[in-house]
Amino acid sequence: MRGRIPLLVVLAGLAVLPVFYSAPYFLHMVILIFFYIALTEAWNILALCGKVSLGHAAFFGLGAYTSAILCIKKGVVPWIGLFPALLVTFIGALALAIPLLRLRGPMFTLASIAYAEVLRRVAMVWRDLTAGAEGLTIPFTPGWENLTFTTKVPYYYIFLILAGGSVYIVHRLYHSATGHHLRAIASDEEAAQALGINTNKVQLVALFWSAGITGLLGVFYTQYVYMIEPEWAFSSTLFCLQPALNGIIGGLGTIWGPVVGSILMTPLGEYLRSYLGALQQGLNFFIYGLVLIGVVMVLPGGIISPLLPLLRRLISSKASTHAPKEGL
Amino acid sequence: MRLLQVDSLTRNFGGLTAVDDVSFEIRQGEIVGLIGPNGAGKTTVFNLISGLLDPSHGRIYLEGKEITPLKPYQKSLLGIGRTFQIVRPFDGMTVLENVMVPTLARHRDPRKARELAIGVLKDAGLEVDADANPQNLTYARRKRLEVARALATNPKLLLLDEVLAGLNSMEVSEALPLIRRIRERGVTIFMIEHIMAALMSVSDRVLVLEQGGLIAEGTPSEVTANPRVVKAYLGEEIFDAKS
Repeated sequence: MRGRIPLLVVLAGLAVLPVFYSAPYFLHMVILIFFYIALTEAWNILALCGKVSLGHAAFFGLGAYTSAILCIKKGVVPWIGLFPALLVTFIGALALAIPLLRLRGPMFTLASIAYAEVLRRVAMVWRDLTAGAEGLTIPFTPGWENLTFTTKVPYYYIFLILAGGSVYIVHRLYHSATGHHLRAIASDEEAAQALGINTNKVQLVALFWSAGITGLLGVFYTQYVYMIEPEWAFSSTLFCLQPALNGIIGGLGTIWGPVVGSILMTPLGEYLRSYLGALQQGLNFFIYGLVLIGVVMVLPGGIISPLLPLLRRLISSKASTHAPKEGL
Repeated sequence: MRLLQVDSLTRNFGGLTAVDDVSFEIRQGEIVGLIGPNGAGKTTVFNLISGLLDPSHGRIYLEGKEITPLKPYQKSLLGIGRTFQIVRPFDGMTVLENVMVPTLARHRDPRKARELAIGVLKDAGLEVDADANPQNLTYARRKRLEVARALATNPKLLLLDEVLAGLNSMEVSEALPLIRRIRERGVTIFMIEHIMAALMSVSDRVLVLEQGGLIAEGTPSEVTANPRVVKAYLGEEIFDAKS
């Protein structure tokens, strides 16, 4: 219990933050951080079993488009639309299940890139449904039922809950049987099978959690930006590379690594884009790449790795034989 | 009682027949050794029994029920445990977490799974290393972890693939009582071993493989007296020692 107190203090602080300071740009930045924490945690669930996806934009886009199209064409509020959005995301996840279970290492990563790219093309071409590159606009009818608001404060709370919920889900998964089995698969799939682990089933569970959360984020984030078009909804930089970078830099396959990675990389990315991007196109990606190389060379376990022993001491007040090794 | 029955088991790799029409049985409670020169197909036999490889021909029965086409995890859940010749601890997981992987596959209650895993670690003399990273253990203790993890599957039949290889004589003499203790628990043991003296001291029966085929079967003394075995595998050393 003692270990939870610092966490509760941080949560309470975040809950009252907009009361004291609600400058739109600041709130936007914090919302982006929350969004990326949730997205990176979702991506991280698959990373737990050692599968590096660079195709999560597929799930994001499927969730986002399903709910947006239902909202715009049929007037379905997003609260209802998120259920079909989840369903479509799960069907989309099923298509990635085949490469997930059959391909190893970089081969799965390549397949995931191709998958998101194929969906982006489909969204471009299927104009009747998506209006192609023109995109679709969410009708502006403010109110909780439509998930559209005139200020950023409600979005702040929505994304705070999504971020907190994602961290909580990963925490629960990590310490569950599934979490142990995912980590075993990441290390040695054959040895895990010989110990009685149905590795296919466990990886599918991970895929569905990972895809489902990402699809939901698509629904909510589209409501935040009001607009959807294929280049954005299936963007490889925003929803494929960014969560992977945050996760690798923060600490792959850990509970808090994605949080640390998103808190550091989101403002850095925004800063570099607005200042350096104007100076020389692409310069921001150059700096970003340098940061990635630097972190991976100096701290292969991510920025979280040197912090782990410290955090563990802070939190493990329980039995001595407990403290999970990479558990935080 | 017959625990494992293997009928004309065969496995081809391209043009090579790694295991050629091998049939044998293992009775409940036995310790059976499997010996043979390098490349005789011993580990392939283990991979076929544990399901990591599918046989080209032949059938495998556990307690009279055919298990040939089952997947490795299904065979493990039915009671076939195995260790790997080259130890394969899960990286990034503590010794205790390694042993909890199989117990969590059998008991969804984490507390129960943890309790069982701690019990297994105690049996294997590894409880002091529960929170250690397997990478930091000595080779002998990593071998022990490999056995502990297989034991945590609660096997009826335990396949030990050269668990004594690479240990010094002192470590071997410490490991042998563990193997006997496992058998006293009612676990049947089928073990590949190169250290003949150690194998002879624990096993009830020995099977001899050469170039994928079974060439002899019997008690350790029968097998060592068999001229075919001596020629194929045991060589001068043991021959001299006997005379």
